[in-house]
Amino acid sequence: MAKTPPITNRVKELREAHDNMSQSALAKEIGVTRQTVIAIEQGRYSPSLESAFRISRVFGVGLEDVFGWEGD
Amino acid sequence: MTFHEKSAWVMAILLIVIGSWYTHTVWQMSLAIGETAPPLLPLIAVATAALIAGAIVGHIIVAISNPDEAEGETDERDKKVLTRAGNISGYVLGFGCFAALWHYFWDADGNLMFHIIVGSLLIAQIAEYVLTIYFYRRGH
Repeated sequence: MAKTPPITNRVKELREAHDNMSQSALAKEIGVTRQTVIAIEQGRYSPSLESAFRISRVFGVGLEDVFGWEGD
Repeated sequence: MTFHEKSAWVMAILLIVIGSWYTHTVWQMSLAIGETAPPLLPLIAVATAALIAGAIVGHIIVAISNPDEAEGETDERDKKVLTRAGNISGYVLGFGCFAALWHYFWDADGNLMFHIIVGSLLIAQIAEYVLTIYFYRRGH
């Protein structure tokens, strides 16, 4: 549980490219707290599949454009 | 820091302070009378009242420091952290209760059984809050 998940993400990059969207705004869009968005960006938390889809839909990209497997 | 993590800090500190005071008092009483002190309602009442008052004041301070999050709902990460911490602390409580029962089976000391169960409850709660903080900080 305490290990860093082997999942990488481009949430911060996409958020900044998306009119510099704030972490709070993204959190509100996907229904989590700002701290959870921070944890996702820092790679300390892997979101549920539902939240992962919500994030990708907010940015209008595919799931694999946001999330990847470490080493791939 | 999430509202739940701040809340866990408040409760962990309160439980450690009040639990230490309670344990120290029972220990001193037991030494004074030369046997395990019986459970005393006034002592339990004072400890419980102090815990409730401390929890209320602590949570008011935490809520005032960030009102938006205090009103927010528990999200998927919070639920996962709280469930995991609660699950592990359940084992701590179960082990303590089993130890108390086993001790009673051999010594038939009901007072000691009471104190072991109260102690297990305290340790299990402290473990839950400490694990909550750990899981929030280290990630999962």
